[in-house]
Amino acid sequence: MGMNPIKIRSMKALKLLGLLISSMIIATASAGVYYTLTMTSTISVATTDVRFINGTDAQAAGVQLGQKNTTVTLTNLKAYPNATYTYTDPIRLKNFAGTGSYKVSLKHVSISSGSTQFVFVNFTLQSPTKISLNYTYVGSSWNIPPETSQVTMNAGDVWSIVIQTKAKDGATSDSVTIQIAVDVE
Amino acid sequence: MGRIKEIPYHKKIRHLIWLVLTIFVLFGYSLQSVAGNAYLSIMMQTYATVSPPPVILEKGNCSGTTTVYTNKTSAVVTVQAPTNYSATFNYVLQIVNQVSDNWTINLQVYDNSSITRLSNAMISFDNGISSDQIIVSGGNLTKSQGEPCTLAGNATVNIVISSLQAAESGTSYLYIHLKIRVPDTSTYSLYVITFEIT
Repeated sequence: MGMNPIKIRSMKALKLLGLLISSMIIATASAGVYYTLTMTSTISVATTDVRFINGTDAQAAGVQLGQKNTTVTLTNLKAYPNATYTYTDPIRLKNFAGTGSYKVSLKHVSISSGSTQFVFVNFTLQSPTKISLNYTYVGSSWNIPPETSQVTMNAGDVWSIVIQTKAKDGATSDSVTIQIAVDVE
Repeated sequence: MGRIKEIPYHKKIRHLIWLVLTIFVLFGYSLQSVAGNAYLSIMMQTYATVSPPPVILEKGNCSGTTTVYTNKTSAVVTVQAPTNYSATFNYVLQIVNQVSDNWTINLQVYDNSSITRLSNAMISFDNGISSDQIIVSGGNLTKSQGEPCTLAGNATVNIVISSLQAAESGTSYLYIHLKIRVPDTSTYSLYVITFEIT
């Protein structure tokens, strides 16, 4: 007695489905492999258009620019007890590009431990819409500020970064090292 | 009586295949739309130290109450304003430079309250510097910021209140910053001095 034609078709369809699923699995795996094999990267050394330059208060703040002006260290910031100390123009950010703009934001990277005698250390980029990283010492720890919003820096723009410090009433000696990043997109 | 037509089994499977193919295509396209942004970070490291203040405030030598707070970077000066004559308080506070560096100093009013009762009040620098910094006249703040003056190395400048007279009783407050600037820079510290005039 021969098989029912409908059953034969169903069997064929099931086989087809099985083949399809198998091919999909193979295709997915293969695609992953091909991505890895065909991806090529060309890495070239380039300088960013947005870089640090000295401000008028660079000497007072102990500014030391790194190579290509993409890093900077301020070694001589002071904080006086119960008095706000302001460096209006220690370091500047400049967009050296002839044309085009970048989006710039400030971001916390690290802060040293052990300091207890500060009230605040604030960094404010003097962009048209000012953005700030404000570190405040509350209780027994530093409040770490979140990353700022982005501001658009047009070709040729130069903005200073204002730094303000204040130590606690009665403070005699202490120190803190803070590292921040200027993200340029 | 009508008869419901049953979909054959192989057709159901065919429909299932088409469904799987459609999902596969859509999923494939969605994977291709993944994108990221490239950015770079330029780094700034700062090293801040707490230091004793090079310039401090000291009490004056006249009547009235002057309180200089810890670290000598803030003070409250309390003086009485007569209603029938003008008084001078020479001097209520001293600005003492403890180091050999020069500084540029001036006074700035950053807030006030109930000064309309004051007929006159003048706050000045004296002793080597002669500069009228803050003036209240006829109940109005007519000069809210003084001209920058040089505080020489290891020198002392006095703060004098003169021509002080009130039209009526009460208590007025002048909240003032003593701005001490590093010469030829825009780096400065602000000391808070509160003048309470009864």
